[in-house]
Amino acid sequence: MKNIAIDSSSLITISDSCLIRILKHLSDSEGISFIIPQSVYYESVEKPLKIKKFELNAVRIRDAVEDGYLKVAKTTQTVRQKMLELNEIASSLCTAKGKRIKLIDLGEAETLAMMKENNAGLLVIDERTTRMLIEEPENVVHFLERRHKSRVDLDFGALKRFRELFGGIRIVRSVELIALAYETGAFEKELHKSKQSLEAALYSAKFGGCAVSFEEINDFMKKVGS
Amino acid sequence: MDPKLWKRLDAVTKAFAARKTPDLKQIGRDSIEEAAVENDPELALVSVVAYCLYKMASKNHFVKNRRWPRVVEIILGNLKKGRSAAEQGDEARFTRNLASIVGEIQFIDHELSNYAKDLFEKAKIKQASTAYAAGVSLSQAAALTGADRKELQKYIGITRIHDEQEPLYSIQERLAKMRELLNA
Repeated sequence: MKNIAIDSSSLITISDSCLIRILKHLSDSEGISFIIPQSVYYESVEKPLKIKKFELNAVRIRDAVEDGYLKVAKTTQTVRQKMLELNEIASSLCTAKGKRIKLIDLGEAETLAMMKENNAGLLVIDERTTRMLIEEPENVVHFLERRHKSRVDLDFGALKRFRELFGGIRIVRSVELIALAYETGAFEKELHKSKQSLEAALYSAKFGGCAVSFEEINDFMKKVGS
Repeated sequence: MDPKLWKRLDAVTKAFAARKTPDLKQIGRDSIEEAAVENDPELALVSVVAYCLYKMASKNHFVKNRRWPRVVEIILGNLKKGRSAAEQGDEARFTRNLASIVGEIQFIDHELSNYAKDLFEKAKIKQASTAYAAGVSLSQAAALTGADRKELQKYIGITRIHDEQEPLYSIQERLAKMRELLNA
């Protein structure tokens, strides 16, 4: 089995699009074990189960856990320590006007922290900032400078430590999971296989909050065979 | 407390008293962008309040209501008290005054609005989306204003925020990386 971690942003997107069972089909066909940390389970299931508006989605995710294709990883002491360390490093990476910018919250930090302990080399995350922080931290600085029209400093010591801990993580989004499902036949167990249904699913992910642009989807769809 | 907090409250008070709605909107935007960089939930709350006041003062069904002058009076009174509390560094009193303004916004919104979701909740999401656009993560933006994370994600999904940046990798490239890992 190959372990893939899922952040709450992607889990929400996939479940909201009624496509959560593609995780089951991908798990069966590709030998993938999808894992989430306890805080994501709390945020996606336990808390929304008590809110009528979000109850159905919470039930879907709970069913996925009960059916075994989505696993909840325990937050061990090691994970907790790493989570706090990551939170500290991420908060000291960028400074503006002498103040540290807190870029990520503990929720995102926990997902990253539990990856190594659970031997997961791939992270599915739809949220933009955490993804940028892992893939292109220097660009986070440029982004912040452009946005705030003021100088932002990068702490290279913190960046080195951050890279040591999380540099090797590969990242995909829910749109790539959907595309993989389309390619492997997992998609057609939920929807008829057609370019239109794939495109509709990708746009549903985008409108559900996946950090993907119209241009990216259009470029991808041009290369998909009919 | 940071002087900019009471300076911002001053600006909100002046703009609201003069019904300068574009100014209220701009103060809300500037405040949340600054709150995002400085991780300042008090400034984020000022931003949410400014946005609510902008929305209310822009809508005829609020301002033409016979109760509106009294609402304005109560809110202005609490804005001034909040400003004075912030200037004196009295955090507890500042929080109470801001809570009174929020209570007043929610009360009048409940009385006069036709929407199920209240204005204050919508304002928390709107301002959190601006914090996200300014660079902080989804969870951090939600935590800053107290917005519901799922609602925030959905709201961001219908904005152009994710279209404003050049992607590092295309969908094909990420898909190839995933395949590579699965085939290893």
